[in-house]
Amino acid sequence: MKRQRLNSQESLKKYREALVKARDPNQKVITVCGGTGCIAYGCKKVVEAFKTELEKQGLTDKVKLLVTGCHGFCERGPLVVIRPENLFYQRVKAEDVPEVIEKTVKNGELIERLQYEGKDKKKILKEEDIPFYAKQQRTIFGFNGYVDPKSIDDYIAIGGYSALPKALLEMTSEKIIDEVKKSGLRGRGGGGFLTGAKWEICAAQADQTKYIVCNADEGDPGAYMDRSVLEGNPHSIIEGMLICAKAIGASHAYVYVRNEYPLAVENLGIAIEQARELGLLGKKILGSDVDFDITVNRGGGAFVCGEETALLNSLMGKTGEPHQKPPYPAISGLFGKPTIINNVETWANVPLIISKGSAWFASIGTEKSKGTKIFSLVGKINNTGLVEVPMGMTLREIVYDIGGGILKDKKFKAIQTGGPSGGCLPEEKLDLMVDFDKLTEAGSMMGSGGMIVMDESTCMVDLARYFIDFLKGESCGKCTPCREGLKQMSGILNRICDGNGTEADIETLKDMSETVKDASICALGGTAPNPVLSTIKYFRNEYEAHIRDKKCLAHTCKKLIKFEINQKCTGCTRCVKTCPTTAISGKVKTVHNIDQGKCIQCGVCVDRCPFEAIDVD
Amino acid sequence: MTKEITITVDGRKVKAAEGLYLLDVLKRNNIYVPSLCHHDQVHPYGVCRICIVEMELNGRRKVMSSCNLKIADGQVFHTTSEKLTKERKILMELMLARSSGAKEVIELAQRLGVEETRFPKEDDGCIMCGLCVKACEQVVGVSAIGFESRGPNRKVSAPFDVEAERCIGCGSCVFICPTNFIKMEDKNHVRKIPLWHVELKMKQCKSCGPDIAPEKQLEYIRNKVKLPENFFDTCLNCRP
Ligand SMILES: Cc1cc2nc3c(=O)[nH]c(=O)nc-3n(C[C@H](O)[C@H](O)[C@H](O)COP(=O)(O)O)c2cc1C
Ligand code: SF4
Ligand code: FES
Ligand code: FES
Repeated sequence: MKRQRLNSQESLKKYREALVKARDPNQKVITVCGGTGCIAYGCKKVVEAFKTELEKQGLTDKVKLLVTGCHGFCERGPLVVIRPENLFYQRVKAEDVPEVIEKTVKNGELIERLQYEGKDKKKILKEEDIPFYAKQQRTIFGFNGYVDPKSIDDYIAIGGYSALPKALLEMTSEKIIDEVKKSGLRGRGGGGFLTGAKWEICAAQADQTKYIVCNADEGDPGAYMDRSVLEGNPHSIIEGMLICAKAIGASHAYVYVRNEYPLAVENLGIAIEQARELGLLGKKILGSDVDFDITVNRGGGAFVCGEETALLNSLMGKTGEPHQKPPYPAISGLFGKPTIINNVETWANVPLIISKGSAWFASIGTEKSKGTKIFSLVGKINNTGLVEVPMGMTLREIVYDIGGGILKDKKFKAIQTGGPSGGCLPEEKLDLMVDFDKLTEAGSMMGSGGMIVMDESTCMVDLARYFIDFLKGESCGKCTPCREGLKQMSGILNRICDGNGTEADIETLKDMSETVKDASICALGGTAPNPVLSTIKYFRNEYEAHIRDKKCLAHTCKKLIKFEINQKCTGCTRCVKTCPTTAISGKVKTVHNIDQGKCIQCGVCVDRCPFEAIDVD
Repeated sequence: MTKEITITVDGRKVKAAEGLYLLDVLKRNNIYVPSLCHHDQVHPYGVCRICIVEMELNGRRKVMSSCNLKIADGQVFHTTSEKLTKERKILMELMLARSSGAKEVIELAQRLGVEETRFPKEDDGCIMCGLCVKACEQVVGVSAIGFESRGPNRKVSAPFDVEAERCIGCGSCVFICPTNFIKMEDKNHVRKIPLWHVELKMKQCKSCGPDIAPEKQLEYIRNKVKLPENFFDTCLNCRP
């Protein structure tokens, strides 16, 4: 269908009214999550099954099938939510579909085995009552469950593009910037810089040409919040950038998307096309004097390319390497022009601030961290997924209320926030609020919103080693402290894990950390030592145990553990058969023995032994 | 017209033209800040980080490199704090661990009070200053070489580490390299730069015989300044 261009506020209003009128609020909608997580669990087959079944039953007119972006609770995917009642089904398979239609959709009967079961074994009926969702405040992410990301009409029908005419036609640039400043919005990509202040600096530059960039590089391993927003609700990003275009006087934007995100690229491409068709991108948008268009670029994939100066270099076809700031992009960025670069989630917040007002936004959160933040909650926790919470929520609430506590009821040990270069916080910091400055003060950071929960089986020295090794490999290698410093830190940490650490190592690590933080060109080096510094600060005893006693308290550093068979051994010989190095010997029905020279500390015998006869020390 | 501005360095007022690089201004005012990857002939790349200073910013001090920092009015810098001394020393220890045999590194380390490094020593002649790459790009204008790989594996290299096709054999990289890491050899009328996998035929003087320069380099110059075809047939001495 060729759409008509909307060339005024009035025409957009009419367009929306017509859409809303044509939609029945009581319409039965079967919402199937089509996000990347659910795709991995096979949701495409579920969607196909629903299509076939609805056709077979002649229900295509009565029941709408909506394939959406990620709902956040990916672990339970494929997810199906039936609206308007919000009935929640999890782990739905194609085989379940005829039954869902027959029982639930047609007759309102529930299928217990597809329902979510709470801790008390009670089935939970509605999406919003599931503990994982109940404590979240999904101001940005919530839309994902209600729109088809490939349909601009869906976005408009739920109120999307209503901030746009306000910004373009009713507000001055100053007023927009003022609103964003007053909202207290800070960048969600890592730095936490005040978005409005950044826009103000850029707007003040005399240059006629200015650019806008959306940072969708998202290189943190395990993080996928930006991906999910882009895949699930791409128009919110477009609207955010359009508002900024008016505020700073830019007419072109680039979205730099990680190459590994084909669905995000696809959905964003469709969204841009649709926005162009309706005249929401192009010349004289909604009759204003704003011209604006967007180009999508696919990133090269290196972690460091997410750093803004490296990203801009990469966009200009140069090597994706950072440079020292100043010059800041807001003053001299893409092609030397003033450039506003913001993160995906930052952009998604902008339309809400304009339509609901800065006061509304500023009412959520803490004194200096406003609004909500999406986290990717992973690790040794019962409920993993994407969670959006108001700033100011405590880590404890996230871990225990939303995350459902530690897997297998083990003991909580640490939580790492902020991605690979975040710090690890111990139990006594669990009441810390999610807040840019509080997390930094505690030795960690908000970063882009990674959250990894660890239980007692994680060795904190080994963890620091792991992250430093990762960052060492991702460093661009341009500057000495990051390239050489991380290499030496990695050497020391590996040595400590192997039981060859010395007393001086801890001080050397601390000295080196300070230098790498201060002297590196960009924030990769500038934050890389966090995992080391925070684990030394909160888990120094573990370093000392490795160094002095040659012991790994978590029993994970292979060179420091020993497997021995105790008197519980019945001589069943199971371990003998599983040991890959034939290190175990013994006669049937007598206590066995492990040859320490042959043992490679793989631990398979421990898992195999039914009698708890193998000790790890 | 550049504006004259005033900055404060270690409590002393210093006047200079706006937009100059801090390190240059410091040098002119006889304020010593060490540097390693800086060279007058190329734009500052700012990678060794030895030239760090502290700049006052919103009531705090931020560590920045001075060679690529353009000054603005009213800025306040510190060049000799305890923090900087300590961090420069650690940087030198790192450089010393990487390039334990490089004379320039050893000398600067000693000057900054570092005799030994705590870290395992390697003897990589390349200190990663990037001057060769920048000289080839900015002075010669051919960009025949670049960087390869990331992190500790980064190295200067011809593209894909095979013959640098664009190299004209001028040897600028060889001359600018502070550690003599890049070797060049002229033998049997052939110039070799093994690091770039380059072997270029030399042109001989038609009149007196000896090599003038690589044919490719002479062609490059001839084209660039539009000299007649036979311009380089004879050497400078034999030219009328
Ligand atoms: C190593 C490194 C990687 C980064 N990766 C990202 C990224 O993937 N996405 C992002 O938005 N910001 C990333 N940043 C932060 C950006 O440099 C920049 O601060 C951000 O895009 C600014 O937008 P914001 O103010 O909206 O956060 C990264 C920074 C560093 C140092
Ligand atoms: S800090 Fe690391 S990533 Fe950043 S410029 Fe230096 S070497 Fe490259
Ligand atoms: S992809 Fe389906 S819930 Fe995340
Ligand atoms: S001299 Fe400034 S960074 Fe090397």
